[in-house]
Amino acid sequence: MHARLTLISIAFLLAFLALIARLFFWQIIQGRVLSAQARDQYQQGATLLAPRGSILASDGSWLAARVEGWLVFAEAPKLKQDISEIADKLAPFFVEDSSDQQSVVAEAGRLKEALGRKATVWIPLKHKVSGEVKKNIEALKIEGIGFEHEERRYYPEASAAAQILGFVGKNEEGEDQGYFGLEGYYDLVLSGKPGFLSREKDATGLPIILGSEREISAIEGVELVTNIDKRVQLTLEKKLLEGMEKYGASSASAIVMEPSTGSILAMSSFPSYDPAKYSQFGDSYFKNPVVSDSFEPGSVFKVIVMASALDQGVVEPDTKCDICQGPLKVDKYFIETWNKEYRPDSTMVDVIVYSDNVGMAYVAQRLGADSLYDYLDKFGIGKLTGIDLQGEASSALRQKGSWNIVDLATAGFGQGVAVTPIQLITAVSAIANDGILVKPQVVGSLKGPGWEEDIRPEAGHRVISKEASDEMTAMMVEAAKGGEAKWTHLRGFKVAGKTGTAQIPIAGHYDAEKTIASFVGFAPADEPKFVMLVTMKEPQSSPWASETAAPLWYSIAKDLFPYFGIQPEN
Amino acid sequence: MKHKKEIQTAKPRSKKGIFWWLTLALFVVSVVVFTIETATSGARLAKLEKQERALVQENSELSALLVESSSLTSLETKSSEMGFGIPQKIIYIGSEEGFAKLP
Repeated sequence: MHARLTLISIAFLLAFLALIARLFFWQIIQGRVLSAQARDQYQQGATLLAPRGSILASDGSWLAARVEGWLVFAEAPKLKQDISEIADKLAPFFVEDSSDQQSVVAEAGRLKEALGRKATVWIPLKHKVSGEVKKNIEALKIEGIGFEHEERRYYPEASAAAQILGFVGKNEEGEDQGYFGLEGYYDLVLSGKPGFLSREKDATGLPIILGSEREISAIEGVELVTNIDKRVQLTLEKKLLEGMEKYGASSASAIVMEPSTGSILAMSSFPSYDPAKYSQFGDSYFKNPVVSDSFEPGSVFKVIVMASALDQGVVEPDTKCDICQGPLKVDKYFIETWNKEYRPDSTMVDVIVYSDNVGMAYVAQRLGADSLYDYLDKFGIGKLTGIDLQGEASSALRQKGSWNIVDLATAGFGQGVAVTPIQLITAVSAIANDGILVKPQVVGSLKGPGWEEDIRPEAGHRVISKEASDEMTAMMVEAAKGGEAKWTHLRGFKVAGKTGTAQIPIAGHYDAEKTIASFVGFAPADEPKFVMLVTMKEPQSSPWASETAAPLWYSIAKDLFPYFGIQPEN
Repeated sequence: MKHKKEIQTAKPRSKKGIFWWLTLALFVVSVVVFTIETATSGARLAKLEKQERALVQENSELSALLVESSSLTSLETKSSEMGFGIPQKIIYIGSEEGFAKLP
């Protein structure tokens, strides 16, 4: 009897243990899976998309905008038609030019391969198609083909300002992310923050009002109101492309800036790309040479060195150069003028007007290496300007105290130093702005629903005195009127300008034929409304800036004068 | 006597019973009405959300059309097709050379 009771007790104990073990399995080990399955039956969750902010021109028109896009997908079990037939029907909608049979056939092949994948239930076919394409596909009534809402970027001016804008690509998680230019620099504020909605649903999928609900609202991306003037931008783009083709340059860049505020009114570079089709271009197109590429500026740099010397008081406009009668020997090198013509007793005005290298070596020597370094540093040479574009780079200046006599002399005429176009125009803007250097800025304000915040930088800092800037401006006016580019000068307009033809350094020496031609200037000289820099790499029609960059500068300026209300003096 | 006593006590029980029955009926009706109301509210909410989505989509399509129409590049192309062009020569007139100037 006792044994039977013991056996029954053991049996009960074992059964109890088995029950505990089973409960442990379902409650602890499988608990999360089961509760997730249960939750799926009565709860629905959805991500609330945060629309990406638009990028606007200064007049409020769009440079980049969000528009509706659709992901076209296929649900394999629901497909009733033949895969090849579906692919052939869809392919013409997914190519850029449906009359191009070659690309249609290639696209159809890609779709067949995608649809034919075994063990795949949900197949994404094409991302970011337009609403019109969606409607056309819907009209075909292909069973098993569906659409999912996406957002796509639209650039109404196509490739215009591409390198300022950047583009929106995908990150490692497959989410939209801005790269390069404004899209890259302001990605965080443009993106916003997606929200989430979770609530209970009934058997038919309808929401239960009294059920639990949790909503985290999406935060919309902020809009960028840039300083870009669309008309100036489009004029610049058109003229720059024409100029590049006319003079046979391998690349060209131009910037238009308001000197008093540092606002970038327009910026363009060629070769360029279409941000909407960025995947069709190589990486080299995405970099903005205006902020990323350094070059030896050549004679345009003379205005910065001369302005520094005038401010330091080591030279006056009528100071005579007493070493300008012939080539200057510095260490083992000879410094010559660009045309081998020498003018004894040239004044500083003559040195700038005739772009005299020997005269500028004289100025640099009067200034001294440490002083020159300090001035270049104040002008922002050798350091980032802080412009709000992704990818800004800068070559550092040679360290203070390590400049030898050759470095000093050659820096006087823009050799042995490297600048980016944005550094150069910012420095020249300081001369145009009574000696005050202002940070260049593309975006003027941030705008959200019901608010707008001005983010323009505060007043700049003084680099040189007003007197020195006035004297330098007067010299540049003379250079524009009487320098080697005088033939292209627009009569009656008070333009301050300077040409620069720089040799390209390669493997320890300068290329004998290839040059970078530049022209920097501002107008009207007394009260400048814009500063513009034009640079062209390796122009083929002539190596000289006076025959390439300068006429292009005036050609653009001629269109800008009426727009800015600039009239001839007389 | 016993029967009489029962009759005497039946009166108050009946009132109480009616009250409870009414309460129960009200409760049942409330539950039914409330359930129906809740269910239809969910459907109404779903319908409103669907309408909202349709309006957002329409708004988005109109915005896209506006963005496309405001393109200066396409406007320039259209204007040149229509024969408009930028002036080739600009003549500046001095302020002293006024029109209808008295001798």
